[in-house]
Amino acid sequence: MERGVLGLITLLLFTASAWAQQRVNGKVTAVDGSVLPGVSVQIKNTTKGANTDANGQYSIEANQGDVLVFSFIGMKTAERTVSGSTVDVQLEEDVTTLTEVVTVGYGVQRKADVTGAISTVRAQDIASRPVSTATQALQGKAAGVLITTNQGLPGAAPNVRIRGVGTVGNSNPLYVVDGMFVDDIRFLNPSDIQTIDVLKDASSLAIYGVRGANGVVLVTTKSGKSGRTTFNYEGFGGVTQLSKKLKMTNASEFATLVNEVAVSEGGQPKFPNPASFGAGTDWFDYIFRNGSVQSHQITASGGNERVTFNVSGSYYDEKGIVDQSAYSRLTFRLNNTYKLTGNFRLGNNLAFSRSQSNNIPAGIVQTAYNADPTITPINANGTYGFSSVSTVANPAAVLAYQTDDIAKSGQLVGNIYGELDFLKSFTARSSFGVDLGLTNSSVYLPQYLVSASQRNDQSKLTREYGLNTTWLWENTLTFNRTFNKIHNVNVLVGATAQNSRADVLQGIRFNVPGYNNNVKFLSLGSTVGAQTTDNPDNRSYEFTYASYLFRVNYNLLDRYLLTVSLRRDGSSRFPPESRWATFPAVGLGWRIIDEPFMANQELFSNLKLRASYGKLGNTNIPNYLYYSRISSGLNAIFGSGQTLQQGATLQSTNTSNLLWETVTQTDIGLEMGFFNNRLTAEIDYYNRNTSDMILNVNIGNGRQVQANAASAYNRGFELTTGWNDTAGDLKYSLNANLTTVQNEVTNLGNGGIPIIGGSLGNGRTATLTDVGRPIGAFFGYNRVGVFQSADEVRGSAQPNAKPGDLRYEDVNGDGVINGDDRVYLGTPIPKLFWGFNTNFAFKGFDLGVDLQGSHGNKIYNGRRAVRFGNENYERIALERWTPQNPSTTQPRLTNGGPNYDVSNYFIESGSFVRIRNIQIGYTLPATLLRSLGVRSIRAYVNALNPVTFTNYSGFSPEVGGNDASTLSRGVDLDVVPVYRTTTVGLQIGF
Amino acid sequence: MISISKQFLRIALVGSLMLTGQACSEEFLDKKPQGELITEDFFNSQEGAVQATNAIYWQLRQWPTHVFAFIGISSLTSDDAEKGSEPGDASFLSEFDQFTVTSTNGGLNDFWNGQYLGIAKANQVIERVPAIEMDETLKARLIGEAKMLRAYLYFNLVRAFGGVPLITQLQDDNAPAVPRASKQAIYQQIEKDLNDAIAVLPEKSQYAATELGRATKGAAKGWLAKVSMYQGKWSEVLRLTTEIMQSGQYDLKTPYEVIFTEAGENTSESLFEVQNAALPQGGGGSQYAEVQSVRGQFGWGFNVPSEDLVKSYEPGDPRKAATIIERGETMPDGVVIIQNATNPYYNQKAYVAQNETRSPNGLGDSNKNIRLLRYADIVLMNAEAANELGQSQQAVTSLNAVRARARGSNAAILPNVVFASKEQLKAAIWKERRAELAMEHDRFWDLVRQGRAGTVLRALGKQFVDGKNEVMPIPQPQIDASGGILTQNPGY
Repeated sequence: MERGVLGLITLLLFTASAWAQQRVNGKVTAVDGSVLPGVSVQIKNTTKGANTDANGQYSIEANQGDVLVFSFIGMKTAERTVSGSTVDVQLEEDVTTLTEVVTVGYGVQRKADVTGAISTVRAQDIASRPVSTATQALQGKAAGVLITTNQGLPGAAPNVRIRGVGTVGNSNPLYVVDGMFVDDIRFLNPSDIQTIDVLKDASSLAIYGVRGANGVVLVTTKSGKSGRTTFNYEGFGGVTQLSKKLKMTNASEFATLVNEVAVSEGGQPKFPNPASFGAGTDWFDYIFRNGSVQSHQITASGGNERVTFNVSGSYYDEKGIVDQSAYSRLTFRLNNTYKLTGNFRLGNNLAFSRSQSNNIPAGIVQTAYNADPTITPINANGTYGFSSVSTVANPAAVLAYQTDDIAKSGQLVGNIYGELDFLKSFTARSSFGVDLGLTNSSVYLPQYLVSASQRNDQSKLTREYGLNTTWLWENTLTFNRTFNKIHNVNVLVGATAQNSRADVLQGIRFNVPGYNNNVKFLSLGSTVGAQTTDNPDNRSYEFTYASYLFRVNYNLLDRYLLTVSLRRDGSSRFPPESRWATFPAVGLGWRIIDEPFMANQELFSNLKLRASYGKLGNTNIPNYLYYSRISSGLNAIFGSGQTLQQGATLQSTNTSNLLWETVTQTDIGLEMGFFNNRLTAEIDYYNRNTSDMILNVNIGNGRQVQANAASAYNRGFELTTGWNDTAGDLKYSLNANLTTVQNEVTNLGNGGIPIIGGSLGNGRTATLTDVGRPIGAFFGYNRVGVFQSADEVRGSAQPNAKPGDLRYEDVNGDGVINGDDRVYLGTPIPKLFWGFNTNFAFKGFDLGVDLQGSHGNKIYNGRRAVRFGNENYERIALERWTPQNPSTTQPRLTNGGPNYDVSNYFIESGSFVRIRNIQIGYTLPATLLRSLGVRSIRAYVNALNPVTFTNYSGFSPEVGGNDASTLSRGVDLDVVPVYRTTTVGLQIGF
Repeated sequence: MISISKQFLRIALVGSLMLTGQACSEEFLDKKPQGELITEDFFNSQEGAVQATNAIYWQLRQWPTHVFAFIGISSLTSDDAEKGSEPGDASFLSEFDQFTVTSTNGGLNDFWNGQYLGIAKANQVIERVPAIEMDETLKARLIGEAKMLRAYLYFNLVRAFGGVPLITQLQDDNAPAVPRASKQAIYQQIEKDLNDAIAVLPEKSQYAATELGRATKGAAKGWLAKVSMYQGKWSEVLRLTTEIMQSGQYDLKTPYEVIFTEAGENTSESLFEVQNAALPQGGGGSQYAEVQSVRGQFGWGFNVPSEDLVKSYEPGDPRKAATIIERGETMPDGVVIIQNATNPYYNQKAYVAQNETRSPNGLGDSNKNIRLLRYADIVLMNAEAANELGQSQQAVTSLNAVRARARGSNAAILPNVVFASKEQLKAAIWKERRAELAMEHDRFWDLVRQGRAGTVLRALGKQFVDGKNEVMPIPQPQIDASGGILTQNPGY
């Protein structure tokens, strides 16, 4: 029918101007050779136009000398002067012009029409990075998005914070992959990703309501295009290496220091002849290794007018820098669209992944840091050495006995949707998505004896099976119409429901034979005395959301933009009386560049002002909090036969009456383009206020409660700027982004009592969250020097100190150093972070260099600050205070006591500048390939994290703290360091 | 007319659909905890009442309540014990030994939490069980058990810190922090709880054999006697100890060297001990023994007998050998202690013999019951109270009963004490307490009670400051969590 209409139009045109015109044909393709259907072909300065068909062919009547304008969403508009009867065009993908589209919640929009703050990262910006998950590749790519690698372990998920740290609870953003809500995108093969859009402001986030407060990361995976079927292979392989090794004292130095401490504590020297040990064991050499990484993937993509497909398979395998750590993943993806009739479409995006992690014991790096260098890892007779002066485990034995720990998972994530256009302006869409996960893990601990403190008397097998089921059903109706040519209206209404459930079954048996994996099953273990704790552990939880959506985009004269969005959410995580909440937002935009008064200026090629304000929610809290629940397993022993009797009680306090955590956000943004958009800039001011922050409060006496206990703001500026140009054969782009964050707590519930956090595991805590300070700010004594003599001690506020001890400031001057003398010691949240990404292409060569930086944050060096007894020392300990060598900065050596109180002695700058990635590639000339029947070949070399500049003395300045506690951010306790990865890769297209 | 009714029908249909939708969504959003008990159901059954009471006993086995920090505060502070282990290991424990402890010492906070977590569990029973419809005798007993245990935990706190927050009710999430009550108010509550417990608890022999180890009338009386002694209420001490001695529940027939072995658990010597068991599947023990076991051979080697304790025994006192492990010693189970053990002495009362039951989790989950109150203590309290009240004959009789058991069949040692003067007898009783109860978490607080902690400890070179070191500093994290409502002890 369309062809009929087209024919009719053509006929009419032909009739009207037959005298001067002739038929011009041609084909429109993309750079990769695929055909582009639906491209608008228009004769410049006329209303005459046509569209390309499914094969990218068009046909139009035009005069010789007419200029044809080819335009298509996401492509650079091209102009060609008609000369002859055939005009073929290749359109280049466009990343900067006004035709750029961005994915927004429940739809796509022209970037020009967006009133919100959205950062878009495209496939090519993160391509070919040797990472297991796309979030790692996002580091330094988007303003406002701070990504910190918590653990340099294969397959580990980085910590993602959008526009500051909004809550002390779970601050993770929501990930939406092709419309499906997920917590984590590690199941995705990074190469399947087409674009990542990060929604940051209220206008763009409000449509996600109560899930939107921490930001939303929209991931769109690649889909097929009609036209020739293309095949692409990409593979890379390389090595991973520890980028920085800490320098510890060697065996004879360590023995000397241990003797010194023993004597100073009134004991005898432990080692009669320290020098005899020589260098001893360097435990880092023992636990770290050069790891490896390899990845292979193949994609087939194509389709016709009715059906498109994109099929991919990938395999990723990484052996970590810590011995025995490994991660591998297999993924398959099938994305299809089906045009069933002219107005009814179906589609599916399905991903299956299977992964395996070989886990290493938590804290192995810290064990190696602490381990006694005087001992032999493995003695000649096969036994493991153990320390005579400390209880730190032998890391070699830890690696030998505690690494039979495998976690496997299978995950199916995807959705199936249908779309129906009706009554011209309406589109109804229904999407049903699932996230099905199966996990199983096996941890086998053999019987072993290294020393009295490093032993396991009976072998133990723990197996756990988990099933996670989420379904999400979303129904939306869109109305899209232009009234009187000047009022563009787009209305979205919808209703969605989500149900998530997790089931876990775990069993433990002792004395399971362990000689191979075929016998590591519970049924082969002992079931002696079938008692309570021998029963399998069986848990389950379930949560649901029900939501209604509404959004209007109104655009007047293509210049004045208004977005009103609203989502009403109900969640099972809240008690019935506070279960529902509404999250509204409004966004305004003014495309100044399109005003008549801008027509005659040359400076700007784009100028747009936008502003938004709205409310968002956060429900990342545990389930069932409002139920008062009993803790079980608190069993007691009674009776002459000493048998177990079940015990259980209410351990928390009363029922929690939690309300939604709410973020109110203001955003003002200015988008600019200069020199025909070769230079672009986007500046945003944001102000996020979190209230009713849900957090775990220590209320004393060993009790913790979840409460709506604080308010805080995050404010700052984001700047994104880019320069894209060509100079002869050189094409280049320079893109920079920069974010400032000012984080401050404005109010505390719980009677205004500051919140303690950052537990060091030795009874001390490093952070205090208080009004007027950043969340999780460091808090402790101010070190003012080192006591040089007994005389100095006598007149001081530390009467029990010895010469060589740290001297702390008596802030209140009461003559005693105690808790009242602690002061604010800095923030763990960077005040400024930035990324600088460059790309150069010259003939066949290309070069990309990414830099990244973070400034203003502090790190608490918990590795050094926590000692229990005779752990190894960093070499700085050799500069300690001694009567012969009185230091004014380093205290005398002790294994505990006031020198290990929380103070700025252990605080260091966390600022760094890093060369994040360098990639050099070469693409073979097309002329050479044509004879081989190959479309493209590119080979490249990539270095990830090659160099970091920092003053931080630890392994790596990236200390995110774990997700469990934002209050521990920046406390470096047992982080496995980020590492350097060097790879070579090959991309082939057919 | 027809059109109106059609219209009405349409509206009704749409309306009811919407209502159904609404109802569905409310039900859809109601998700009950899975595999977890809810408080209102749990505390509505006899089974719940019993389990909630058992949970208090569970707390007594835990690390913060009765292991590392407890040993630091109750034992390392005394002249009987030293930190032990390697000089550098767990230095924070040295601070208890040396009286250099400050409010940031991690052990202090652990201990505080360990006691209050037990008190909170007792409060659950005391507050919620009365409303449960169940066997009334059992109900009264369970509440009595909870009260006795709460009293014991407060006794630990008041001895360690002086006045502490008095929490006897369930607390709301957002209840304001409770300030410190006076020492007297704590003692009053302890006495009230113990008197309540005495009124309802059965005697030890009245329990079924399967319930051995629960709080008894005798134990509650014994704690009340001790609490009274700490306050100098001598006639109360005498009355209570006499009642216990006449109850027929206890005697001194268990040989001294047996008391602290597995065979000596829950004998007629025992008034109250924390029950630990080495279960085949593990999970029934505590780490109490491991931290004190011979370093380099079995365990960590903390809390070792001091040279001063070793020298303090009368010639030939067999209790010395039963209390102290020496290097190279052959233990009763035939094990030879290694010659190069890190420390010269270890606490034999925490020794786990090789022939005792073992947990798959090793010594960290050991069977060793933690003896908290035993009959010899009652008899010595009886002696001291009688002496204070001028009943010297009774005092001498009780004192000599303890010495007689220690003496065993060897008539040549530990002669009977003969009354010379009240002061001399008092000194003899105090000396006897040290020998009999060495390493049993009694000595430091006994010295403080006797008013001579400073004199005794300074003589050994400890930096004990009178008026300060009788109690510990309030843990800084507790002051912080209270928003400064808790005040610090003087001198810290």
